[in-house]
Amino acid sequence: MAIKEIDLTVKELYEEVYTELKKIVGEEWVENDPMILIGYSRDQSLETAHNPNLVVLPESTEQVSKILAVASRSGAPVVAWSTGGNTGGGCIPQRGGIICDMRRMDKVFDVDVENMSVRIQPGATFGKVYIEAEKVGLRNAVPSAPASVSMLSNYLDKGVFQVSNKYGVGTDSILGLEIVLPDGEIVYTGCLSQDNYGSICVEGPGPDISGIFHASMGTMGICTQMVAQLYPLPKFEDIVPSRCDEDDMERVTEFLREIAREDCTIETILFQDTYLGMGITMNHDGAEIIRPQLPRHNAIVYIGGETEEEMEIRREQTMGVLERTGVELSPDTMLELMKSLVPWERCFKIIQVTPRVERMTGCFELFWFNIAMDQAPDMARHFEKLTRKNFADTDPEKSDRPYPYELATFYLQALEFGRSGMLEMDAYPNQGEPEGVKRGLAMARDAIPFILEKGGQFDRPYGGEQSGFGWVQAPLLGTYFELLKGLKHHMDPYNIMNPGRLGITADQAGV
Amino acid sequence: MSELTKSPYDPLLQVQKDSYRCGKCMLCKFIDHNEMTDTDFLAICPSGLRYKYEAYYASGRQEIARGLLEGKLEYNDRLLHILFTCTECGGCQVICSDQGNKNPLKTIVALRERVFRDELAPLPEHETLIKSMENYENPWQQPRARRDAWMRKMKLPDPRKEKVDTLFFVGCTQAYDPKLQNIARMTAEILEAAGVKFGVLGKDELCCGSTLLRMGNYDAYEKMAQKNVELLNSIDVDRIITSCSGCNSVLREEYEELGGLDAEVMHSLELVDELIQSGDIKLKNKVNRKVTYHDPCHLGRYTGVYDAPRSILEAIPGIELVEMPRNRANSFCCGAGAGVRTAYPEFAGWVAGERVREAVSTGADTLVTACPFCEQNLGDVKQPKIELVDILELVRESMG
Amino acid sequence: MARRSGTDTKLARARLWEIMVDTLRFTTDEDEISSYLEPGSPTENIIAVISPRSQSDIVHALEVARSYKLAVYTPQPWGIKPKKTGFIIDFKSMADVLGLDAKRLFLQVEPGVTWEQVLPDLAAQGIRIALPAAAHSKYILDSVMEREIVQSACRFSNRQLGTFHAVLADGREYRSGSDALPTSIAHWREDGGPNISRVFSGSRNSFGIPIRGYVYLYPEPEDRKVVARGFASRAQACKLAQAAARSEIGTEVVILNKAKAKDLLGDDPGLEPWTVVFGLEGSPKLVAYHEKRLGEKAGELKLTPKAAGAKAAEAFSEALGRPWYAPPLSIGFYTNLSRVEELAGMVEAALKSKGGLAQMIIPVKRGASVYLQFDLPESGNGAAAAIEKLLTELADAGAFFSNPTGSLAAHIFSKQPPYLRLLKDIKLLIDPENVLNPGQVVEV
Repeated sequence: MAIKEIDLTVKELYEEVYTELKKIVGEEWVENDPMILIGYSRDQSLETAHNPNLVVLPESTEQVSKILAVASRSGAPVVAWSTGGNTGGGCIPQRGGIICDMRRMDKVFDVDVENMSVRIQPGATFGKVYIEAEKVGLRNAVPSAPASVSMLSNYLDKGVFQVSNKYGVGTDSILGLEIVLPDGEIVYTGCLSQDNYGSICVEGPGPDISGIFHASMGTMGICTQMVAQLYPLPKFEDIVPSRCDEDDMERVTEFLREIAREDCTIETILFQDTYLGMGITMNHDGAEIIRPQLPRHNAIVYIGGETEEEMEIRREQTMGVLERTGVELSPDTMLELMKSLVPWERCFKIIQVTPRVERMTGCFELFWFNIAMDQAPDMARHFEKLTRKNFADTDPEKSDRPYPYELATFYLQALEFGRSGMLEMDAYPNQGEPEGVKRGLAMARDAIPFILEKGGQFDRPYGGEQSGFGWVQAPLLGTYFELLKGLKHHMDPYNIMNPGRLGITADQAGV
Repeated sequence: MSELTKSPYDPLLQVQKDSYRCGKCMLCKFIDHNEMTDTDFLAICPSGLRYKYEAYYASGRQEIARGLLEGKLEYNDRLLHILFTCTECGGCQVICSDQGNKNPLKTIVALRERVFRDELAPLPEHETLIKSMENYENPWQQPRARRDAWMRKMKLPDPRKEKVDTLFFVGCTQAYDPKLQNIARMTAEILEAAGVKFGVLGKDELCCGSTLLRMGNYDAYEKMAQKNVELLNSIDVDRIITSCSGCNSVLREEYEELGGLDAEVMHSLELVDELIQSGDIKLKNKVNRKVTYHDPCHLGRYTGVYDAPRSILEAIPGIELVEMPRNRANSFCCGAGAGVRTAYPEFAGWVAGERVREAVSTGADTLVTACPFCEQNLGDVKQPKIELVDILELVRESMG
Repeated sequence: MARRSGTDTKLARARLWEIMVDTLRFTTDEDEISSYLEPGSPTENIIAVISPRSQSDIVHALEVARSYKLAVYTPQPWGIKPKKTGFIIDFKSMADVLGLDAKRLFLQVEPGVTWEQVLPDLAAQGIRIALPAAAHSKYILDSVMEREIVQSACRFSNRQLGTFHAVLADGREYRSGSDALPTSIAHWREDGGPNISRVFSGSRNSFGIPIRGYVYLYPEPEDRKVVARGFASRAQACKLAQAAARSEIGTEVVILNKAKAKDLLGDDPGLEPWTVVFGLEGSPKLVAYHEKRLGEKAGELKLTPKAAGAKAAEAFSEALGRPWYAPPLSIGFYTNLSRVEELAGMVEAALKSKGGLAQMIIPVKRGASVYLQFDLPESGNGAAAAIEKLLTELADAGAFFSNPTGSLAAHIFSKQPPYLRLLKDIKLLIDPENVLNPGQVVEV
């Protein structure tokens, strides 16, 4: 159970906790008013809304430590909330409790130019870090997510970036963590584990315990500080847009793999027409203009270099891959069209800073998972069938933004020389319509088992019981899941840290 | 009909879909990320920046709308604070409507209208304004007879009696506030000097109704606006200009829902810019200032007028224009709008302080704006490093 | 802990013999046992050295360990210090290359597969592996599980392992990353949730015994050229190396002093006191461009390197094609560029009387950190004791030891009690009876 068996009603318990929290953060920064609480009840997923009982806004690690100590003593659940951008229900307080809103801890402390790193707090967004890094010729690896999202949370959540082929995923960019454990104790990992390490980009020291906190959604503790890797910002940059016909998905997958092996680009991602239209123009009207003129599959290749000469060499290498794999360069007319819709510089910044926000129907439902590259075409084709099955008979006239739902989109990213890939498949239920939500949940029920059956792995086990990857996948993970349950029980014996996540039931958490 | 609202009409039903579709991308909290340059000045939402809780941002207000529609929330005083600390600046709207296909500002307006219909509003502080509108047809508790006090020493034609091509709609604030009456006078002087044939309604000018709209009293606003539409449409002019950004947005945009105005509506700056470009206004004198321009919400975001003021400033010899990090559609609100200054003066002052701090960060010695409410609120900030002026003051100074 | 009775030990030994069945895979010879131990450690605590052929053998051996409350040790770089009676597992009999996927760039190996074993097959298929720069083990899986520094760390970092399978102390099989899912073939290294698998690496097999790993391979580049530039000082060499690393010039960027270069090449082909070796790869144009840029960067930094001759370049090229092993007496740690002189100075001052130090510095991940290696010539005269003292001093001064063992590990972990507590707790969670390598990394 979420709350310890003590001789208090829930109301009394939270009144006590409220009083304690006020002493820690001050009256202004803790709330129990329903008008405030409801703001934390939902995220972009289709998970059912749940209100917390309290919201607290700490401003320091010490305060977070005290908050968790109070929660631990009282048994009140705690859900960490950095910027609220989780797309998988990760910060919905399924069992009520305390939302620990970290937005007051939003500092970007210092950019270490020499060692290409930055120290940040949970509330620091990608956009904020990007600006600071750009000033000194560096960049952060940015995911396909709004720049308003917490960089710390995204990295911890194994974010995948446009540059992932070159620089790895979010966890590869974590150099050190400061974590407040469920009992309030503070632990430091990696380069933060000793004051004078500087910023070190290798794991350790010793057995790497930082992994426990990756993709844990705050179930093992709250991260209050991170040292993250930055990367060189090319002085010269350009986009080489490429295209392939719909029936040649195998060809374009091969192209992505070849580009990854060649390691000649900074970013390479495969977009479909809908996805690309929204990503470039950032609005529906623009997307509607561009979409019919695009082939179904488009590869955006971002090249760059320290000098123009280097960039041109990279371009030549890229063109070589295009030729070898039979993928075409998009015509100039397409480039002209894109440039007419949006300032060209913005295209780079979009990819670098705010890659895409496609909200055609207000939200989208995503399934993203890791696969062998060869599996991508079949997966994507089957996914299109599933979206047709679940959405195709929806009457677009009834929606205020008619959009053909059967146009499922996906995004394929080769990782690490094409050894594997991350495939994201999206559907577009309309949360404003109960029917849309129903279809979205049905889609999840169809898609998740299918993905697992075909060898896809969800390395971020999002979702609650309603539509969660984690719940369906967890029992299949064998000894790993057994250890995970044991670890969770050990670290959080009263199951107060974001309970109901990772596919671990209360019983399994040992409570 | 929702469970709580007593009125047969529930404004929240008009925005129900948006409140459910909010995807929590959180972009409504920030300026457009593609325009960001300074990490100190990223926030766009004044109430969110100050109070921090989700409820004070558009994303949180969408959840409140949803909660009220579902009957999961009961009215309380906190709701009023959440709703009426919103200046309705439209900052959340810029990114969200462009990229999210939603209208968060509409949700906020609907929430206000709903609490008004359910008699939770007006706030005590706003009651004075509303009573003033009822009694005096202006929010400043000033008698109608004094509405033309600003122009007593000027002989300006009445467009109902003398044919002119332009009506100068002064607005209540510049008509009545002694500190701002000079803006109205300067507008008139500039137009005269440029040879524009314009007239004013003087005492007979009606309030545009903006105050009522922002308080949530839509029915009263509609009545006043309808009267105004009828009056203005009865006057044979080609265009209506105003130096008040609030009036500008209401006349230009909101009145469309009531049939709209026959004449073209423009802010005085747009006309002044045209006159400068055509040579009808000659800017002879140097004005040696380093200025930064504050885009008023109701001039910029609400009506898209960004270029005209900048064009004017750049035409004035001696002026060096530097932009604040948050400019144009990303302008940070002065803090006065939608009754916030009246109801929560401390908060409005705090917001103004933030904006002035941003202005000072540019190194400018002058903060320029084009809205009487902005001038009132920003003008209250005691900041020796920067002087606040209306753009027309600089034009006048340069004209000699 | 009470010593096992002679009878128990005999019985355990007998059971192990039953499992191994072959004198080549089972020994109780004291000299051989001694070769696995830290110098000076008594051999009485080790009842046998076994070389299992399969996972099944390991599972049965672990059963014996649990039944008789024995420890199970695997080879450690500076020798095992057995605090608890037990036996040693050597992986030499599990030496099959289970798969070589040139398309998906994975090498599937058992724990006994060595570097030298795979190189000819890789060359034949036109693919490569990231070779170690200071391996303490001849076994590939051991080296990558311990995140040992690789020659190409500048470009490829230290992480060279996709997924692994291990046997836990209780005999259960553990699969990391996407391999935990029976249907997955991606060998994606991230777990299906929190990355628990990361505790296995850098643990010297304290959490599980790896039985299979998917090691990264890389495609051969279209063109490759090895160039070497000589400098009078370490600082100058580091400057150029870092500038190149930051500009993503060079797959391998390795700084060597003369002693280290001589160790690697076999003789001294007339090198400067310090040499930076660059492995330039890519298209022919890119290689030529990078070589040109090295010259330009040297100019920008006001450096005047001396280009090593063709013979030296060829020798370095050959050296980069084979694994480099760390000698028995060596120190390796990570730091940032700005601290190289300070920390290297500490090492030099402490060990100056122990003979000429061979030094190597490798920028890691585009120079975000650097790895420093100091090799002592093989000699006694208290070098080992001097090193032990120096290691703790270096650790206190901020040198980052990625995978410390023994007393150094204890010293480092004890600086942060919650960290140590968490490590111990995880160890006890996964290995509640403290069977695997007790005290080698985590002392419970």
